[in-house]
Amino acid sequence: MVLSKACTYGMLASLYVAKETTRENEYVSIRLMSDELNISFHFLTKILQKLTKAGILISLKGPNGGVALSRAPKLITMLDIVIAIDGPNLFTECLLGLPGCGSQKPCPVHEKWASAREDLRIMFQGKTLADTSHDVEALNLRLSLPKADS
Amino acid sequence: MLLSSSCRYALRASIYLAQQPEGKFVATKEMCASLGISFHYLIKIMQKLNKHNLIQSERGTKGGIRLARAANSIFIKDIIETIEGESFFTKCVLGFPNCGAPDECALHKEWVAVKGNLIVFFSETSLAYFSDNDRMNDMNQEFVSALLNK
Repeated sequence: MVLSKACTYGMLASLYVAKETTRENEYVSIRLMSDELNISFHFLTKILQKLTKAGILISLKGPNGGVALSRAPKLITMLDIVIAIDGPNLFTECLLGLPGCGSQKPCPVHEKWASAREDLRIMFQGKTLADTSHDVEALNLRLSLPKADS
Repeated sequence: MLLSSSCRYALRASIYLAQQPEGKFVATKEMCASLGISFHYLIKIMQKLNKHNLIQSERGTKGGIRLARAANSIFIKDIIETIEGESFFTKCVLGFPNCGAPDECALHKEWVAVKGNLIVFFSETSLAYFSDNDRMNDMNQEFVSALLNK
């Protein structure tokens, strides 16, 4: 509904990296991640490239290579991931898609929508990768996609 | 981007119809020109709205399109559901099928709260909100002209 498929996969991948690197501080294998999350290898590498470009992940080539978080997971929010993959449009665009809509020139639903999209932004900004990853472990939340979807 | 382009145009077209004198059929060509979309695209969107009894169309020289009922009984939520599909408001933010306790995703709790507010906004805002001339007059006039080509 609100996020692209690439973006939701990017969140799952980042949570997976956060989870794996708390155990051993090494690079996470992309092949293994693809198998465990049931996300196609090709699609996953494309998403990881975006996260690397945005400075959220770092990557290492070679047989022991893979990806790792570029900084402590408490310093990465879900909002960083949304913006890295989908861009900031969700939090800036007019609901009706009218160019130039803003507080100076509001469209008829501007005020209501501005407050709703701010709630969305706060939701993503309020969840760090550290908190979210902790919840996933502690509450055994879903991380892998169903096999048929891969 | 929360809504697809078709959905944004469906909303803009519905707002346009709500601005017309009640019961008046608006020529399709006039609507296309005012909304800045192609005849083919408008018709595709209008067919969907017609199927869900949100608009009515009539052939002939005095024909055209009008809202199927009073603007205060058609809500933004009706239009969004018609265009985006009924699952729009039930989907998991991370895209998991059947997300919910006990098998929920990492953002489920936060998403349910934010989504609830969004649904309230969409289901409380009827098209009558846009047929209120005082409200439209309060809006930036340049903007209203862009929306309704007045």
